[in-house]
Amino acid sequence: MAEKEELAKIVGAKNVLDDPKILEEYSKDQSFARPIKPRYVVKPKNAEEVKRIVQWANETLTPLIPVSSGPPHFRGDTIPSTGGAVIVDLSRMKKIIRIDRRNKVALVEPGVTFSELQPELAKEGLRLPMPLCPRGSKSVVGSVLEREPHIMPKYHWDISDPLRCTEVVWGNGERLMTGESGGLGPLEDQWKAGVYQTNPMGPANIDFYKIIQGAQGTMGIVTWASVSCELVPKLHKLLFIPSERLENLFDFAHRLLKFRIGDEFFFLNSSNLACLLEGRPDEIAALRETLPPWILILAIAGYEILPELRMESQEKDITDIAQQFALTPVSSIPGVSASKMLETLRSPSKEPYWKLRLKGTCYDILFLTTLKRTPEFIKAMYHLAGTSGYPTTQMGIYLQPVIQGVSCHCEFNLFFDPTDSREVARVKKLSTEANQSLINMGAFFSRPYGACVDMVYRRDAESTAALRKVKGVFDPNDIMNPGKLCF
Amino acid sequence: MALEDYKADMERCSRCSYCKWVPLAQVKSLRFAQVCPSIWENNFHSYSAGGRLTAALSLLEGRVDYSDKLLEIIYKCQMGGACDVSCKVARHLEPYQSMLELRAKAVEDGQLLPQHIPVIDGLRKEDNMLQKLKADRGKWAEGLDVKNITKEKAEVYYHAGCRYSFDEDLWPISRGAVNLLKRAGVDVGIAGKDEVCCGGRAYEMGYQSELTKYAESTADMLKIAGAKILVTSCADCYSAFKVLYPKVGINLGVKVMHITEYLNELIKDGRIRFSKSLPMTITYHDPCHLGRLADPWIAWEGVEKKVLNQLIVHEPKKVWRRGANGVYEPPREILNSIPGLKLVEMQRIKEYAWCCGAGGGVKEAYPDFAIRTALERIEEAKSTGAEAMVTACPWCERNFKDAIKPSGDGLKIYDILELVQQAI
Amino acid sequence: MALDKKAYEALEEIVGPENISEEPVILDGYAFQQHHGTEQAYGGLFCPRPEAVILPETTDEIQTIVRVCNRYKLKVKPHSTGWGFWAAPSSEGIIQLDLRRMNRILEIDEENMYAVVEPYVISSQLQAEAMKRGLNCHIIGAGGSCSILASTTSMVGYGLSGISTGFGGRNLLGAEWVSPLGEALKLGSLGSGAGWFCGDGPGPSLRGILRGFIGAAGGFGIFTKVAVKLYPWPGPPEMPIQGVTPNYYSPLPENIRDYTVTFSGSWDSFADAWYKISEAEIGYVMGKQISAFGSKTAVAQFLTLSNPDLDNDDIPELLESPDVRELTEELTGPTFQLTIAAHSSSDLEYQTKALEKILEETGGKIHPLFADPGMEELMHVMMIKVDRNNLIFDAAGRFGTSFGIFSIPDTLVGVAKAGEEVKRRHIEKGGLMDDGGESTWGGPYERGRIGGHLEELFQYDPHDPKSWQAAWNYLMDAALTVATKGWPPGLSLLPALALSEEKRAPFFAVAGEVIDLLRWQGRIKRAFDPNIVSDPGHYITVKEAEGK
Repeated sequence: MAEKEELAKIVGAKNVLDDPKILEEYSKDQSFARPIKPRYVVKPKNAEEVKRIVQWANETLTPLIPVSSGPPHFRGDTIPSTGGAVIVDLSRMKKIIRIDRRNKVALVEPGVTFSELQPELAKEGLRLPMPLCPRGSKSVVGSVLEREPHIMPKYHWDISDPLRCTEVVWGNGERLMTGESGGLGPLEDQWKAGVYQTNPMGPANIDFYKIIQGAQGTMGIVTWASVSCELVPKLHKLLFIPSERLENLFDFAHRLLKFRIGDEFFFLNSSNLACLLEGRPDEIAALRETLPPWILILAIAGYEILPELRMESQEKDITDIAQQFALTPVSSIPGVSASKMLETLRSPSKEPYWKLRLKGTCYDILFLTTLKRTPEFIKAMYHLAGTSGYPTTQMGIYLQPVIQGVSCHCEFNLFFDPTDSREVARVKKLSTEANQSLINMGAFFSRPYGACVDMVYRRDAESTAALRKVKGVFDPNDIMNPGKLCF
Repeated sequence: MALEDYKADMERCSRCSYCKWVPLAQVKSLRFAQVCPSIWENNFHSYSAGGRLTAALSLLEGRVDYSDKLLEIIYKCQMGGACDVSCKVARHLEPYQSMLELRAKAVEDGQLLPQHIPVIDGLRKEDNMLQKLKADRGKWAEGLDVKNITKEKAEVYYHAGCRYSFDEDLWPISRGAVNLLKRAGVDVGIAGKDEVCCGGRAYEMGYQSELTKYAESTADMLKIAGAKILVTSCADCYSAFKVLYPKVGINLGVKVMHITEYLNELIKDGRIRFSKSLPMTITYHDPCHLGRLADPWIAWEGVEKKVLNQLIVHEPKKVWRRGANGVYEPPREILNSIPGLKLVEMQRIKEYAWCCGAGGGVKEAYPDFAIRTALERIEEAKSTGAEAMVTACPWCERNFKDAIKPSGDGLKIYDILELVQQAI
Repeated sequence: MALDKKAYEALEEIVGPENISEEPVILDGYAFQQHHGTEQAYGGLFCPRPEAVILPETTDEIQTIVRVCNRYKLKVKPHSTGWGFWAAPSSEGIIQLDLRRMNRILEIDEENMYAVVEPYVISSQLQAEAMKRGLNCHIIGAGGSCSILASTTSMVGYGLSGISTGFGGRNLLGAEWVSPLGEALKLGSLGSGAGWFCGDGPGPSLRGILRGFIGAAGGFGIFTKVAVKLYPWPGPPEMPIQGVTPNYYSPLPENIRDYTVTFSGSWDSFADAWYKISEAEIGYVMGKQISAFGSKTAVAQFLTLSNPDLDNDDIPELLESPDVRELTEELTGPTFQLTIAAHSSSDLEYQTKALEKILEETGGKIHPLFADPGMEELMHVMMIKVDRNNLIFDAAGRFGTSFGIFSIPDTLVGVAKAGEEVKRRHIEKGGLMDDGGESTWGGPYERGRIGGHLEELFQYDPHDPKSWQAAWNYLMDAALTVATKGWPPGLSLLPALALSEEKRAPFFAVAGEVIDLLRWQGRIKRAFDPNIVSDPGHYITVKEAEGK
């Protein structure tokens, strides 16, 4: 009881929640993580409150689980792994602090979702490179901290993009601005001095942003982040390059990626494309039947300067290169128009979230590799899925070139009915087997969740030991989301 | 100038490491990017030109004293001058001249490299660098029906040099040169056993006074002979006559030419004609002393001044020697004019060519290092697909042949004259 | 202070006697480094002499060396090509590791665009090999003779091709790193046995502790192999170099254009153009290159490059010429160089027309002199191969840098102006070369998406102690200016690394809270380097490392 009062002193009584129904909601998600109830959910309003919460947690050795996005959650990273935890729900921190058209940067608090940010950016002629149709409740900060790949590889210079600066309350309770803001005064003073949170590096000899990213809340809590934005195109056109065989698209893709041709740029199989475009399971199934097995989705854009010429130039390049590889870009494929696709990609997913439409929920297997290796992983996955009885035609596949084409995010989406215990058991088993097989084949699970976590860290003992040392520095009392990753 | 006069250069060294590499614009691959055999072999920074400037600075400031290691740093270097070329792409410093003075100072201070002592003793006694008898110097020309300029006047004096005089394997080349000149109607004479060393190598080894001695002697001889032109097949001698003699203030009173320059003129004038085809792919090795070290000497005496607070200028204006004006084209023109011959270039050529490994007293003091340096060049030659490497200096030829012998390599080594002879 | 005999023998056992030395003359070779204006801090031209110098060849050897150092309580400072006082030991009693023998390119993955290199592959070498495959690497301003590994992992990473080839520190993918305890850590995908393509994860990225903005300069472990990101090169597989030394030039192919753009003295227009160029996504190399050599002297100096009859000694006379004065006026201040390299004819059309439009909108002009073919072909080599930036040492003997703020164009204009003002004050005192005041060098990175940088260069004479004193005074003033303006420190605190712990404090005091952040570095250092084996001095002080 005293705890509740202590927390209430920090965030206000009505922002400390312990209603069993609410605790139940926060105890589980769409993953296979064992449900564990938190003791409280607290909802701070600002960084100072977050800091005091963290300080309190250090004094009381209470595990904290930060959450930014609204439900449904899929990864298990926002579920306590241990009893007695307090969820720090950042959804009240909803300020879009600043949008800067000239420097193409936006500063947002963690509770800001893509649905909230994109329209505000659009007013300034900006857009944030976004993952593939994230759910409406997805936090922008949450997404960039997870290193979710966005769909415009040309703008993905480093795996950390589009993240720039942050303000973090580290696990030891110290508050720090990362990147060029580190060590400088309050934001308002920085803006007066001409510092707009565009350089993510440092301060000094630590790239703090790389430590907080991918940490799944185990190092600290971010109270704002700046993200690098792009211009809203004056002209925008989407092309499909369909293929019976995925491999046929690779050389073409490499050429385009090399010369940074195209904005939106990714591969989908027919199942995923159908899920993105249709709302109901029968519609999805019907569309899926008519779609080619593989589609490279490629959009080109013109901006402020000579938009038409820019479009023409890219289109000519695409045509020339496609010809060299006997491919034909088209602006529609049976059942889908390019404009509909583009419309879909411009915003977060409409409800229901596209991954839920086919069966109710989805388990994602996601890892990094290189583009030309993806067929071997796909083959393995089909084999494992087939063996497990999973209906392989339903499996979604999404390939996203990242780091401007150096690497490729490979994602298998296992749609299943969460109310059907057999399907649940099947996908759970399949996911475990698949994770292990893929890891053994050399898939790099850079963002490990759930069952694959132990497998991933067992494979890299040195990094595990090093990360534990880092954890010891930033969260010496091990209060930040204990039990996640290798901690 | 003495070593102390280069102190400012030592302090102004950029520590950029340009001296270790070909001029960066000329880097064409990972494999053949280095240009300094000394640091390539020895790795510690001191073995680069920049490192040697620092060693000199340390010595002058009393931070270090003479030691075996310092002598090794000084002398395990062929004095090929590539470092100087690379440095001067962006700097106005004199690393090569500084290194010459460092050697001179060591000698002056009595710090003699033991391996060099018998060589210099031999020079002083017998006027040659190969520790052979002076009396045998003329043997290379036995049976050659050619004037002796100590007895008869001749328009062109052919200087064989120590290597060509005493290295029997190479006699066909010096003999061939004389015969070719005669055949072309040139009024040529030699000095035979009265020829003396040019003194160039000894100068490079730090024994500067030896050069002056021989320069005076040869100048006298040429005056008496009434020669107008001095031609030599030896690149080292060429560089000594062309660059070092004017440097020490000695005017030979003749036009100095390398055999490749002379032959090229003869070919252009039609006095040498080719009648045979040599269907062969070859590559050409620029000898250091024919190339960058043969950039003619420019005498300059003046002072350094500062303007704009710290901008360094000279009064009078100093014209810089950067290795650009060596003899690069004549050998190539000759090779390109031989029917059937295909010339492919190595990656490191002209002013940034890799050294054969023999110079600076290294062949004498560190023969294994000389051979390894040669083998590196041989690798580079082979990488072009050439069947043979052609050069124009007996020291290069000797060192390449010595290196190839044990390795039993397929690559042939020719002097340019040999190909000319074969094609006539 | 000689190395303990047992320790020396243990080290000698690892690399062999020919690869280790404690001869004073060899050691001095490593104590001589570029000071960038910090001679005053060192009391002369030499940095501390290392205890010994070792030349390892493999990661195994390095690990063993590091373990021996842990055992015998020794410190190591590694360098690759080693250029700058931070490459030398920061104090007495430190062993220098010269990584010269680790010089292989292990792999160039053409399709996925990265190369795996050891420490002593210089940028020119990697570039030559990459160009054969239609690729290029990011070469820093210090040029092609620098280790590409070093600038990617350990020391800044500024280069004028940054608009298209990014920033050194952000180009790191998988890597092999030997910790100060001698463990070999493989970053990212490499650690998971998946290859070199990603340096981050699993989970948080260890790249984060290994370098920040500046890099640890060898003060925190040793990188032994790294994968560096490569970028497209639409030019020929080998640039045809013509001319005789020093005037190496290369004719521009059809698809590459070089420009010098001027803005009639308007910094606002300069900034506008920078923004628009970034947004239009044109440009291969961009930045202030010519002006870096001095707003008064650069043009004259550049004229001597392309004309074999002219040399530095002609500069005073050239400066008197009205033509040169006019050119100087036009070509310094708000101007920049821009290279366009197009991958197709339609791309060329777009890029050139976009540039025209941008110039129209901002009042920019293409300057005719530097569109003179001779100069253009020379600049082409300089801008792509970065083969000759060493020229910055040439006028006075040495150069230093200051400010070096990483920010957005509008703010960088402020940096240029501040740099000019502060520098002019010090030029008037006589010790620094009078280069006119504004000599900034820098440009955008990642098409301006993370900003860009400008650093104020200055030139001084190491042969003249009064000149170093002047350099040091200027650096202090520059650091103070940066701090009072509320800018992030950029390169302004770099000179402080030359100072001993006691002397460092007042210098750092001006930087206030930024320096408090060193406590984080200290914590990381203590976690990974409990015996303080990696020479901390250019990364953090021993006291800070010990948590005192």
